[in-house]
Amino acid sequence: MTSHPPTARVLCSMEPAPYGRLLTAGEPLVFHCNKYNYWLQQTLLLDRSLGMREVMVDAAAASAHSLVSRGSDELGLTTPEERLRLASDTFAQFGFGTLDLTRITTSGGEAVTPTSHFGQCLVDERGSFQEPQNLFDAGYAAGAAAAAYGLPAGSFGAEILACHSVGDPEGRVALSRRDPPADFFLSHGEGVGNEIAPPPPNADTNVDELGILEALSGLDFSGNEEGLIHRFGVMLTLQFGSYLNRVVYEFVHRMVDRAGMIEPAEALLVEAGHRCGFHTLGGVMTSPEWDAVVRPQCRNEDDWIHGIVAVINALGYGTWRVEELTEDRLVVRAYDGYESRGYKALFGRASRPTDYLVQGGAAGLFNLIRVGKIADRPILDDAFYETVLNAPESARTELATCESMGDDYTSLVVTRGE
Amino acid sequence: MSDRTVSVERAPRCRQGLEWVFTATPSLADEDILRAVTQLLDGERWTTQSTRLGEAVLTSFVVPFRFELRVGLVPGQLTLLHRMRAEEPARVALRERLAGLLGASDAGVP
Repeated sequence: MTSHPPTARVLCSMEPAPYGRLLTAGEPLVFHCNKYNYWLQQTLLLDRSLGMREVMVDAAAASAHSLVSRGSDELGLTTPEERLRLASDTFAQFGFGTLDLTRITTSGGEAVTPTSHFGQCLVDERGSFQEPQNLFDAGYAAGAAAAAYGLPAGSFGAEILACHSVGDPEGRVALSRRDPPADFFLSHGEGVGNEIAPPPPNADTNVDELGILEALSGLDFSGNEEGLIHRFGVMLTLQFGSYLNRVVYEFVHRMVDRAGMIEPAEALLVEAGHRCGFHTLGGVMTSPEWDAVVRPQCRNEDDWIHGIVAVINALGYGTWRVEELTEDRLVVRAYDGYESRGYKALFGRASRPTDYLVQGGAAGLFNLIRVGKIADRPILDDAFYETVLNAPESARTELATCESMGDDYTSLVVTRGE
Repeated sequence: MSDRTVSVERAPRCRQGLEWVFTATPSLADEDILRAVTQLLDGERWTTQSTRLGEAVLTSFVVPFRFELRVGLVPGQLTLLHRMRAEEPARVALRERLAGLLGASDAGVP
């Protein structure tokens, strides 16, 4: 047999930032799976009158513009061709698919995605959507093109011409110059943290968190030659925290402004987080990788909770620490999460908790382990999700504190139902 | 002729039908699985990567734009990941060929 090495991508360096964060070219990144991306996207698009499709395109443009601009400086890339290559290679590396920007000029052109996470991975092989789902792709192409030509982030408009999600064979996006450039928001970049060092991991467990982090660091989480990350039984993306924060908080603001519906908006986003915990973390806990690295260390159900918290600490969500764990209750301190960091950078101090994703995610992992008995290897399908969610003992999370409100850390208090 | 049987199961959580798990009965040793992989990859352009995970070593073989094979995490098991752009008839043919190679891959095994 003869092995042929893959072609190297042009990428910025990615160094783990303090306290469990992942950064590249100043952009915070977190892993999310296709099932969360599906649920979040459908949540944001529930009410067309909110105008979220445009927000999602512009948010992706802002994140891509920031990354390509700063990344080009970091790598010394000076020509548009070099910068567009960085944009395409990063798109593939992060699991978004393959993006051909070679036909883009300073006046626009057509971007093509032969493969696309948002176009192909939100839907199963039998279904399709009524409307294109490649909004992120469209915005990313527009922002990347603007950065490649040294233009402001809002310099290109993006019109979706085709998308796999509606049955097309590839994604196509027409870029055209906006004159003057749209004056939309910019990426919040790294955000604003507390710079408070988390305590060491909880010692009351058989799980070796540092060993787990070291083992996972050797696992390949880069997009394959189709720009997709197939891992843990799901399709992963390494998503921009700045994109997620912009679309999530804009959704909340618009729900409040137009209908005064803050509680329903928050509940929907927490539900998306619960599904993230269920599917992404559930995928991790039923994977061969888990069986090889974490499961041998688990001697009881509590160890499963410590084990999955250790894995979370490798996924870009900041640092989680188990503060209290009983049969009916879990208290986690979350340090330096991307939600609070982004909220503070965008809006300053919050008047109510804003960490929706981790709020739902903490309940999701607790429910999987305590209620769903994931150690027994149930099939993680929609029926199982509904069974666990609707069980009387299904847990909910309250945020006792939140970093965005000025607290030192976000305190996730998960309590089993009666 | 081998009387080994090979089950080929679609991973239930893979929405796109890309992930398939091959398990032989009686079980195959990893070196026998690798022998079948070697035959499958003969004449192809492919890449490989190995990662130690705890006591196990995960080895992946990639034929670009067509498929990926993962071996080593679960004893006796091989995971096939079709690539998104691979056509369905080619996917079916690949699964059949791989199952056949695994079913026959017991030469030298006591």
